[in-house]
Amino acid sequence: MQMQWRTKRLVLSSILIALGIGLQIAESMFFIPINIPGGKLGLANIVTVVILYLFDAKTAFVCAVLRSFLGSILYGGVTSAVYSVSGAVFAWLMMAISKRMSNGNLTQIGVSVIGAFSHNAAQVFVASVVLSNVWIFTYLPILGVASCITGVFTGYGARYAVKYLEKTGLCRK
Amino acid sequence: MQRKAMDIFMSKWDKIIIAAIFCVCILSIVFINVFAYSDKADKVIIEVDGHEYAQYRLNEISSSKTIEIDNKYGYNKIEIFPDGACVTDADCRDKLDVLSGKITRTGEYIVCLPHRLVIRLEGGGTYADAVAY
Repeated sequence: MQMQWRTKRLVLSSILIALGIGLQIAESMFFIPINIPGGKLGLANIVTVVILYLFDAKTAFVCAVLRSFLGSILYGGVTSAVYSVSGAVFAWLMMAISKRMSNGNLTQIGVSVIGAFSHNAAQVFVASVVLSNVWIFTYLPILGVASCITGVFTGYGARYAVKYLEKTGLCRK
Repeated sequence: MQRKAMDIFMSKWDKIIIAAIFCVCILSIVFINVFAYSDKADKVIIEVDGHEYAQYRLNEISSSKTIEIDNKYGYNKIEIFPDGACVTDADCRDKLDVLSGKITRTGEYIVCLPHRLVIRLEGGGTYADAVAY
């Protein structure tokens, strides 16, 4: 049964990574009416949250790194890969910690907001290192307000996805 | 199919986390706007890849001045006015630097990440300096 479960997990997480890459590319093609430089919907974060809740933190880490790296290499380039991967790794770290610390008191919505905010924080940090300019951190609060709003929506997305995926029984050991 | 009410709403912890992040962000926006962006700018500094590229004093500019930057990162056209600066043209994909508009106050900046370009305003001489010397 152990083997079967690992195969199942491999197949499901590959499908979710592919879905995440699709979402990541799709959201950069959208026209967003509110114009915040650097702000985006963060739809791809849904996939990380779903994997974090369906499987474990280790699988979520591998999936987050692969998803952000492949997605940005396919659409953006090496520069955007640095931003994307650092954002995804820090978002994963904060989400895994907050999920474990909260003992089930946090739902996917809270975890997703934390993920969105830490993703932005990591990207601002990388931008300040690349441009060697600390003043860019004054831009973080604006991104933070945006991440509160988008994080709630992606959190609801992840919540319903987890609920229906658990109902299918595909992700059970 | 009946859905439990608990399934739709956020938990108490969710609300606390969201409210905390939101409040901290709003407070720091207010703080930054009150303290960092208070005085009128009199110097514009253009940085490429972390190094200073050019520097202009705003009171030496009569109507407007156009600067074109064309290096290995990309092309940007910057316009400097007596009261501020803006990016009017760029060849990057999203053109966020053009969309961010004109900056007029000290501490404000325009960033073009793909071209590693930072344009920021500084208030050089404060009143204390002007009085002292």
